[in-house]
Amino acid sequence: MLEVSKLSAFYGDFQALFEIDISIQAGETLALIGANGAGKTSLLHALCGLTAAKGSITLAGREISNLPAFQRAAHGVALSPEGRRMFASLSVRENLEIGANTGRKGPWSRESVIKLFPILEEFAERPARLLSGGQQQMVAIGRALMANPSLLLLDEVSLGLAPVVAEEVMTALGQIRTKNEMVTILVEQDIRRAVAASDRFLCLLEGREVLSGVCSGADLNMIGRAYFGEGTAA
Amino acid sequence: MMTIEVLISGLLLGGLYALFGLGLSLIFGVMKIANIAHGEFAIGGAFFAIAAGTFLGVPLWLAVAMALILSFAIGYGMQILLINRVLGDDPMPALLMTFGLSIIIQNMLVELFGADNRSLDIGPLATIGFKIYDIAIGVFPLLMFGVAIALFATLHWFLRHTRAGRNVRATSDDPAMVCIMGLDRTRIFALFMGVSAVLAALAGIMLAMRGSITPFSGAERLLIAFEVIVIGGLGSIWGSLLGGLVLGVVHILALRIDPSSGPLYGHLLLLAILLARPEGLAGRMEHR
Amino acid sequence: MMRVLLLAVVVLLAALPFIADRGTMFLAMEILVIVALSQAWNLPAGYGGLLSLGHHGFVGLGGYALYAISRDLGMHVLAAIPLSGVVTGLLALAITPVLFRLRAVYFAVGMWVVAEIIRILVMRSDWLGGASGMPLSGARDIPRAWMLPCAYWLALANAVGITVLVWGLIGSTFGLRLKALRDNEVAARSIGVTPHKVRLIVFVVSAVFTGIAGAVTYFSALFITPLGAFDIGWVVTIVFVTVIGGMGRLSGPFLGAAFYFLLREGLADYGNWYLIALGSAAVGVMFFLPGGVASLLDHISFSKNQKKEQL
Repeated sequence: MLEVSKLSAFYGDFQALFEIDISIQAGETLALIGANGAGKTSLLHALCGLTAAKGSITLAGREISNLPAFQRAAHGVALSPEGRRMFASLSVRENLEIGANTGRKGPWSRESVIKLFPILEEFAERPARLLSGGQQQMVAIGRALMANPSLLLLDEVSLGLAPVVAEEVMTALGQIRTKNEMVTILVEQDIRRAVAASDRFLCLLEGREVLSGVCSGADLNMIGRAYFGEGTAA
Repeated sequence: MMTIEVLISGLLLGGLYALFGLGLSLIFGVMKIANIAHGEFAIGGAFFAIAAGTFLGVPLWLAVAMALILSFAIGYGMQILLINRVLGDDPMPALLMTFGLSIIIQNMLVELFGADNRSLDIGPLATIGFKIYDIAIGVFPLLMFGVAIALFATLHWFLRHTRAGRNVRATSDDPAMVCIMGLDRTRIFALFMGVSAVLAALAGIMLAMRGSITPFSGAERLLIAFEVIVIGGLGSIWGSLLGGLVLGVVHILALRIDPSSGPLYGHLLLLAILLARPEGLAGRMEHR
Repeated sequence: MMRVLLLAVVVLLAALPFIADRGTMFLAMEILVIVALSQAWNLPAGYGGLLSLGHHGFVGLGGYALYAISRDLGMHVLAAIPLSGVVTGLLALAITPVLFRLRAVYFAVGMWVVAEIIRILVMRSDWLGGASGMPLSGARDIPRAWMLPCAYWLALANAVGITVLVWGLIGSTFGLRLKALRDNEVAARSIGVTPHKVRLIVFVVSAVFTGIAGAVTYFSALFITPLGAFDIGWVVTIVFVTVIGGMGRLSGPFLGAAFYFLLREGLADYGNWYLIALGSAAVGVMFFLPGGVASLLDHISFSKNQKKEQL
């Protein structure tokens, strides 16, 4: 479903990713693990088109790496960004609705998103910037889902949230996973949580892949060592 | 009665000023740049209308319509071809580019029309007025005010209650994220520059109907527009209306009390606002 | 070697009044004034990120200060010229509390508003001749024949002075602080750079030399009017010359001035077309070559060096 080949990302002269390869089947979730600065967000941004990148990205058989960001949305790439990034002057309802701007068809609509995050119904007309962190995170995920994506990118959805709230969000993600063919890439600093929520994992260090594999039965210690770059040939 | 008359004259003039500010405020709000050529868009639009009337002999309403359409096209084109290229985190390249464009437009107008005063003839409409309780009110100033209010209300409705307006607000909040939603930021910016040019041209046309203009009148109009949006406050459409009304009253008052001062008190008010209340009278602090 | 060459150039330029006719001398003076104005504006704008659209206020004020000092304080006109720079410097100092609260666009247009305020106040002031202007009393201090050469030498001294000053400031640790501030204010503060002081210095220095340039111009003109002295055209010229030449580069003002005068003299028979061409060149520069002509020369010398290495 998603084939990424030799993806390198750049910020000006600085290279953040070095020829990353990824292959994900329909319906699978990939956990992207790594320390700060490892290149996780750069990878997500390269997939959306927010960062200059080289390499090939094929989604549902279509090559999207040469498309500008706003056209990738129409091809099914959706992002819940780091820091939530609510549209400050839009209400919660408008934030969700703008997610559906590309008009793609699928299981997700305002009704199904509200079913996933019931509390959003209450806040529908409130300016999104006035919500708490956890609530904004729900809006961000909901906004991404409203696009009925083929590729859902979730950047640090539990960052800055109280543990209880983070659990709520992760549980909701579990419900998303069981629906349709959508591919999900999940960026998480908490290795345990990431592995528990995903089918496969990819660990990055300084823009390069250091470890990858299947989540079920994975050795968390080994992943931890790779995370910190211990005992691996960089 | 004179105070009431001053107040009303000021408010009516303020409507025109608010319109000057509105165009600039839209660009500033959505694209975070200052269009130094804004005054020239206004004066240029007026000169188009004058030319259409003089050289093509078309009736006034048609001349105005043509000028507005042409202004939209030029604003749109300028954004797509030139200004878009220099947009980024640094607002200075766009500032310098629009400064360059303003000089080009200004001097092209001088080459085409000469440096003399010109105006748009609206016949008797310019002078007729009526009295309410002994207060004299001009019909044309009232009309200008009405047009300004109508445009503000339309814009407000557009931004709050339409899908396109929602997209524009989102673009102004977070231009990068908006691409993720599938919106072509470049097109939205170009549309906005076009709309801004139309608003400027309309204000310029009304100015030329009210009095006279030269190719050099643009600079003064830019400062007025700038003062309107700073006094009123950024991030708020109605702030530009408020700023315009306040500036209009200040100018009319200054005309009565200190006739040789010109725009001096407006300038002083700008500095005072920047010192004491930088977010403007109606603005909220920028979330940056 | 380079310094000896530059010194020789300056000496040669100083000798100009003895070898050239009045027309050439006047043009040369104009060029030097523009160079000085551009260098002075470049200091806060190109190096410091403080882009002012109101420097015509300092030009006009410098001119008026000269006339007022020469008439009312009876000072010899040549002594009054540097003093005019002091006046503009003091004004700059006085307005920083307001102006430095502003950033970027607000600062640029805010300076324009300040210049307008000065213009209106001067126009209303009978003491300064009102809207019709006033003659230079100091003209009595110098024999007619020496007026132009003196103006020329003053313009040369001013241009050399500000160029050397900019070169010295930028090359020193002050220059590093300035660049750090422009690149990243937060980071600069964290290493102990005091933004206010740094900006203040460049702004005031800029105002001083702009004022002197204005004084020199109106010294040679023998008459000053508010319309001419505070003409926005000054800012247009200064900005375009610097942008086209190359902002933040010592060579920028020279290259830009050369371009400007070639354009002006070349299109002299076509009215305002040189301004249209100037504006277009500025737009073109922003579009294709943001570093100005100076960066173009960089490319050329860079590739020359590359070739050397390959050999």
